[in-house]
Amino acid sequence: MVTATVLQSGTMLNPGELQIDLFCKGLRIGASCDLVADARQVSRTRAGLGSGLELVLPGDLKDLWLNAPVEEDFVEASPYHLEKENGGYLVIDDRDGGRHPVRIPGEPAWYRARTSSGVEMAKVGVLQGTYLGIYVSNSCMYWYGGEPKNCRFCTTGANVGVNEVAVKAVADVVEVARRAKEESGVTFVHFNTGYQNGRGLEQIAPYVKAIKEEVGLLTGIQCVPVTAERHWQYDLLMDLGADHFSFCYEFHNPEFFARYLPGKEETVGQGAFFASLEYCQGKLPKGACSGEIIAGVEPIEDTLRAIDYITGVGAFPTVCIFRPVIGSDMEDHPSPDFAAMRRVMEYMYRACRRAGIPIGMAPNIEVSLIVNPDDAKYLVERDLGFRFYELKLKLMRRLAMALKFRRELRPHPVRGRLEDFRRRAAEAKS
Amino acid sequence: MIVERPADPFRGFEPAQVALLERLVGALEGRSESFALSRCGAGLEIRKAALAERPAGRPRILVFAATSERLVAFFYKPSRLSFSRDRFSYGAINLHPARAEDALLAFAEGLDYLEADFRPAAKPARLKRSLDVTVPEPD
Repeated sequence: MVTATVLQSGTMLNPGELQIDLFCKGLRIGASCDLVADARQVSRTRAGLGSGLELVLPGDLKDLWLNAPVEEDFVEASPYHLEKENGGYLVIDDRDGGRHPVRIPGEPAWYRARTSSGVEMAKVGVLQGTYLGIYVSNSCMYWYGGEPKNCRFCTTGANVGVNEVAVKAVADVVEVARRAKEESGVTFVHFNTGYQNGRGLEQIAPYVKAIKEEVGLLTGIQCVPVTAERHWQYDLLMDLGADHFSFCYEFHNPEFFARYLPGKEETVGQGAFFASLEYCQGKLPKGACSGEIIAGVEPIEDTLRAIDYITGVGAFPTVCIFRPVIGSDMEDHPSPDFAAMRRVMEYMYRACRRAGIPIGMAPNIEVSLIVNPDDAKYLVERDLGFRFYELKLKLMRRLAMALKFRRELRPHPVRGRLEDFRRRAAEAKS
Repeated sequence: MIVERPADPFRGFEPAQVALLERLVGALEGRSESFALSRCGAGLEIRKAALAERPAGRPRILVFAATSERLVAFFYKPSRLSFSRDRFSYGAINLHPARAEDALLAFAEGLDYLEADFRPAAKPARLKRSLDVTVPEPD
């Protein structure tokens, strides 16, 4: 059975296709909506390409999380608009009158609560999809200096410090993570630093240890990579409890990398991302690390090569659909074409299957800013191969839950010591 | 030219700041584009005016006093969402009353940017992307 449909025919899109098309075209907000009462705050402080409204698209294979563009100028031309009817929400497609029921995740009560030190919890961390995202320190250093070297698609530097507290206390992060786990069912905390002059991993270390020992959650780290002589930092973080490392190298084509990521090009270069990804993935279970890329800017063939490379090293690809975020240097760049993005996402799913990457293993982690590898299952034929792969993933999920995740989701001591990190850092300096 | 203006555009500014603001407003009068001025919190807001052939532009410049020695021209777009008070920053230019001629040149670049609807190619050379001041809230 072929589940994919062709957009031009006017037929209804399946949930996976609708997710992709909404990323590409955005969503207008109809007057019937009451998002103040019903939705999470729209926040663009979280990540380079985030700026929109969190939605859930229900589906028979899985529900899909999506951060839909709502603020950018290109949204005005979108055929999609959100309306509230009979207490529920619908995405309506003006081209064919298609009506797609969606769920709007509400704002958790803990967002407006305060930590013991008096900080509003949403200023410490917010949900992105179903996980807790935390920027542990002040804005990415690429934004500072006479000629900013920020990634050209990003607006983080224009926001952090305005909507968030600049430096987060470990105790505050622990309190927020605990509430998010108890009340929102969070299983994963993702720490991000932006560029910190090579000190990002060191800054994250105490947070990872505290989350493991005091809350019990899976932890992920996203920092600009360190050079090979400092790969020991990844080892120490694994000892402190890091479960996942993501490497945002964005563009596989080196010319696009250099053009749009001047800070990363100047400070570490594209090769450092590859070396660190290969190093970390080599030490962790298959599918534990990810290479993050943006589709829709560089030629599609380069994006497909990126997917082959990432899955080839045993990691999983996290593919963002490029969003010309309001206020960014690339605001004038066109939003990508649906057909091209559908091709990329289908390729991603097939590449993961071919390489045997265990996707969708961790419990309750849905990332709203990307098309998750297992979201793309809607884009392929549900043939025998599909069913066999899905069955295999289901069995692996059960096994992983029993052997790993159950333990990780309980507070437990870690073998690493923060003193080791400080000592090695001091030795390296001297 | 200015096609809309508030009754007391410089309310709350200090005399040295008002002297510079009057010259900035004079620069607006001298351009062929139609501008609308309004008060916005503690600042003076400038945008392209709504005309018969087009709606009001989304881009805005908010001029406010950061200190007695410094005005800031903050470039932003308001949220498209009716319930949101978010302002999307495009950066800021410092305008010093003590260096009025320099301030007028910088402001003229800022107006070019506004007229170009903040197209990245028209970004003023002196635009600072990261702000070092808190932008006042609207009323």
